[in-house]
Amino acid sequence: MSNQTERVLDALGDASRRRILELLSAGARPVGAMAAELPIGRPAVSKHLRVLEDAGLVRHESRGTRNVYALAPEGPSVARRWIEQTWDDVLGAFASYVDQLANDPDGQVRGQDEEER
Amino acid sequence: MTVPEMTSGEAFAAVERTVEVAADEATAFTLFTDRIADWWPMATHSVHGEGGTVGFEEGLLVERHGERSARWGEVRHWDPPHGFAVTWHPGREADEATEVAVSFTEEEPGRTRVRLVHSGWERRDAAARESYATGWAAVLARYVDAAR
Repeated sequence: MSNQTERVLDALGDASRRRILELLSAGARPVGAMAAELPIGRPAVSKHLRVLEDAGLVRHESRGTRNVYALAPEGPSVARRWIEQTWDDVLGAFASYVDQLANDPDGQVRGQDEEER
Repeated sequence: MTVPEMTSGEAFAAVERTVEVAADEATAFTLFTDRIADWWPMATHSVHGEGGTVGFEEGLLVERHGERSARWGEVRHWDPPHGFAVTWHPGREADEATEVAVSFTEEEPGRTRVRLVHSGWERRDAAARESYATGWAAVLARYVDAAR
């Protein structure tokens, strides 16, 4: 799996971070407002936001002295493209391997018990 | 089980990819499964990276790299030469598994279409639902709506 896919899936694999995404789906807000609505402290919220931001799922902008967080619209589609790319790479490698065998009579498929290693 | 409404969550609907290969159905199935170690791009698509190997072992798909190993999934369906399905959780616990199904269809003699469907994104957090009402596909579905 690609690093980006891993980051997205890791980011989503945590209930607190999903809760943060749910909060943000109702509108952009600063860290303090999120902390007030969650059963975790502000430092923990900040830590989760960094993970979400690294994964491309949220982004922030500075308004005065505070950072306001919002969902990054392209977040899920980036993850999806990475997953598609993963399987294109894998299936492409398989097709090349089959082609190579088809073009090389010595490389024809043998039974498992005569496998050369 | 409630499957989250996915109409606005296409971002995590099943991923489908196909490729055509120069082999009959039975050969394609065998090469894909018995010979997976010969072609899988380990350097870029594995848990432990280059130098390891992957194979089907007694109903499991397992990566081995020296002393280390990683279970990628469990075989759920096995119907040679037509297809197979495995749960999919490389680098993760089984309860976070999605599912990968691969089917083989000989379109003409010696040419087989290989179709891969990666699904089950909504199943990823059955456990997490205990504490929160929604799984991540449901969160993403709302996310996609909200971010529009």
